[in-house]
This record gives sequence, structure tokens and C-alpha cells, in this order.
Amino acid sequence: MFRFLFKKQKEVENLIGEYTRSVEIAQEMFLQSMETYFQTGRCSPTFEVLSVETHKTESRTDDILEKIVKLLHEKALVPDLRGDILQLLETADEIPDQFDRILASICNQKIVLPDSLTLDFKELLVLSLEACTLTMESVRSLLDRGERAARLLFRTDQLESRGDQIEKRIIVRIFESDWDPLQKILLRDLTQRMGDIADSAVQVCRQVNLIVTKRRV
Amino acid sequence: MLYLLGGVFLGWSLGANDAANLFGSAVSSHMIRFWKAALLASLFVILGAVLEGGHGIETLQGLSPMDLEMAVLTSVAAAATVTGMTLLRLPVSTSQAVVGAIVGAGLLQHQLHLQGLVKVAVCWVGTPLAGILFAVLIYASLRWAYNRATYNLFQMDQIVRIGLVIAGCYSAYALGSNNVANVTAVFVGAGRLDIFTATLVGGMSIALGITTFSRGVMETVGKNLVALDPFCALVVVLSGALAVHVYTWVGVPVSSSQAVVGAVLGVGILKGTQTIRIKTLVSILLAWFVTPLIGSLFFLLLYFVSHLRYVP
Repeated sequence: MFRFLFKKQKEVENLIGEYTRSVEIAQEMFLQSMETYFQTGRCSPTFEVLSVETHKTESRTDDILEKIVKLLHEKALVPDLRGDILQLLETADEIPDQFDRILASICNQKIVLPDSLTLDFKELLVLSLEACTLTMESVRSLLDRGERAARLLFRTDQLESRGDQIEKRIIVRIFESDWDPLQKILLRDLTQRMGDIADSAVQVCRQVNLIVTKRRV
Repeated sequence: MLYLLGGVFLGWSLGANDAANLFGSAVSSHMIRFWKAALLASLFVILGAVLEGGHGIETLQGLSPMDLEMAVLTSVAAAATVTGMTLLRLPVSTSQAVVGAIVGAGLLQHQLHLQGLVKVAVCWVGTPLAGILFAVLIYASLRWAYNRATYNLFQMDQIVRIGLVIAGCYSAYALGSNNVANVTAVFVGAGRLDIFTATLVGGMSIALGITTFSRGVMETVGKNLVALDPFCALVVVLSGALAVHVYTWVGVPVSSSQAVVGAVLGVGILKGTQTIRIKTLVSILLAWFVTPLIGSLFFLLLYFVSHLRYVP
């Protein structure tokens, strides 16, 4: 009953679903790129190809985002929810942007990853991407009653805390080493950028939780 | 037809002031454009007035006998009270101003229907109480339905949006049916209008106020309701409308603003938050006594002035 009233809402819902799937594809491409990077420790031709593919996927998420923003500005939702969703998507879009920026920095700055850091970086990557997966699930939870939002926020928050510890550990190891100072700074920046992924993921989950809480009667 | 001007002005000012209670929350939060809201409100005010406005007219015309002069002075006194108090930023109810003026006329003629007056006074006190009661009942039932609905957040928001528009229409209907008596009852009492014409003229006067002068009030006063949240705003508009409509059946014109204040208070009681300032409650209490008193005094003053004769 009443389904006919929700035509524009349905469009927004479909686009949000499409957006989360597109972010997940970008995440998959990013993972493949980083795995290639961990194998060689530098920007290889395969890595470059995968980086370009990740960038293309990231652009597709931007296109979907633009469609959603346009639809929202055509007053598809109640103003209060419209504002919340726009803000949420703006924060969520930080995640694919970060994938793109990390890959671009590795290539552009020719960052060489020492073997001794590979395992730590892998751990940080797995953790950050797990946080991303939970985040997209959290955004999708808005398409039902949002009942999972609090649980997903809790889990993402835990991952982010563990990520912070790993990030700190890596930075300490970088500055305890006798590597070239410039390389140290580049590696520190790369570590922080990877840590930022989980930070953004938590922010998105918090916003989802807030949207759900605000609408609880 | 010039004698109707006071009534038409009263209706116009009633429409301009009370429109915020109808569609204020929907318009100020941009859920519906002002013009759509104004047209819907006007349509439903006229419908309410014509279909159910007769009950209130019968009550008010029975409070005191009227001739044309008394009717004109009553409507002008009530309009002057409403305008004056609005300009002084004092809380005012059109119903209370009109009854005050009628009481002035009754006192002057030593013919006041006390039983009817007591009924009216009891209903005034009962208006915010009905607002509270309906808000508690509607909030509890809507919350029950809301929490069990299988729709997602987007759909629930859309339902609230449509609900606010429907509640606004119903609220306009209730306002028209209840408050039209304030505008033209005295002219029915004076034998100048039949009930149907009175309800039509009264409804159209209120509609004129809504379409020509309510935009500012809708956009600013409505924000006080939106501050609640869309769900609570829906409960408040619906409860206020029901409270007013119940008094239409009783046949007594009441203040829609006081019904809304009662509803906001009811929502606050259920949510355990203070939604209304003590100052607002005190101002309602004062309005019950001050507005009719000023209405009566204005009537007596106008009567005195209109009977002054130049003696060379």
C-alpha cells in the first residue's frame, strides 16, 4: 500500500545502493593495487594500471553521487532528511577519494616500501578495508529501518582504535630506522593516509547512527 | 453591505494570524510551497465554514440580542481589540475578543445569556486541555504504528511529509468550521445574514487573510513547531485540529493557537522535555481574562463615541 507515493524516494534509494556497490568495487580495485604494491614495494607497471582502474571506479562513484545530489535538490526527500543525507554522502565520498589519493601518492612520489614494514602495512590495510565494508553496510542499513546502525558503529569504532595503534606502531618503527629522512616522511604520510580511511569510516557510521537516532520515535 | 466590513476585517486578521497553526510547520520547513499551502488552507477553511460553521454561529448569536448597530459595533470592537493587541505584541484570541465585545453589548442592554457564556468560558479553559489530551493519545498511537511499520527511513519521512499536509488541510477545515462564527455570527443575530451566507462570507474572509497576509507568520511562527521534529509537528498540528473540531461540535468558537500550545505541552509531557515556557502558559491565562475585558471596553467606548451628538 502507498508504494506509488514513494517514486522519488525509490530512485534515491536505488542510487544510494548503486553508490555503495560502486565504492565496494573501488575498494576491491584498491586492495588489488595495494597487494601488487606490497609484492614489489614500489610503483610497478601493473600497479599503475590498477591505479588507473581504481581512479575510473572512483570517478564513477562521483557520477552517482552527483545524480543523488541533483535528485535531492529536486526535493526528493523531506528537507531535514535531505540535509542529513547530503552531509552523509559528502563524508562517505572521502573514502574512495582516499583510495585514489593513496595510490596517486605512491606513484607520484615514488614511495618505496621497505620489506620490514610490509606486514604492518598489510595489517593496517586489511583493518581499514574491513571498516569500509562495515561502513557501506551501515549506509545501506538506512534503506531498511537502520536497526543495525548502532552495532555497525560499535564494530567500526573498534577497528578504528586498533588501526590507530597500528598506525602509531608503524610511525615509531619508521622513525627508529636509519632510512633516508625524506623516505621517512613519505612513509609517515602514507601510513597516516591509510589510517585516515578507518577514521572516515567511523565518521560515516556515526552520521548514519545519528540519522537513525534522530528519527527514533 | 458596508456593515460587513468590520467582520470581514476580523476574518482577514484571523486568517493572517492563525494560518501558521495550519501549515506553518510544513511551509517553514519547505515541505510544501507557500502558495500551495495557502490555497489548500483557503479551500478547506471555506469548506469547514460552510459545512459545519453553523453550530458556533447559533451559540454566539444566542449570547445577546443584536440589532444592526450593535452587530457592527461588536465586530469593529473585536477587530480593534485583535489589531491593537497584535500591534502591542500581546497574546490574543479572536474568539475571546468577539465574545468580549458581545458581552459588552449584552451588559449595555442588560440582556446577557449567562448559561451560554459559562459554556463558552468552560470551553476556553478546556481548549488547551483538549490539546494536551489529544496530543498524548495521538502521539502514543502514531508512535505505536510508526515503530511497527515496515517502511524504511526514507518512506517514513515521506509519510510524515504527506501527513503534515493532510493534517494542515484538516486543521484548516477545523479552523473554518469553528472560527467562522467569530466573523459573522453577530450579523446573523442582527437578522442581516442567513447562516449559509454568513458561513460563506466568513470563510472567504478568513481565506483572504491566509492568501494575502499569512506568509511571514507561516514562515516564522511555524519554525517554533518545526523545532520539535517533523513527527512531533505532525502530532501537534493534528491534535490542535482535533481539539478545535471537537469544540465545533459543541458549538463554541475557541482559540486554535491555545489548542496548539496545549498539544505542544502534551508532546513535551510524553517526551519528558519542557516544550513550552512558563511565560507562554501565563500569557494564555492572561489572555482568557484580558482579551474579553478589552473587547468589552472597546465595545462600550465605540458605543459611547457613536452616540455623541454635537450640541452647538
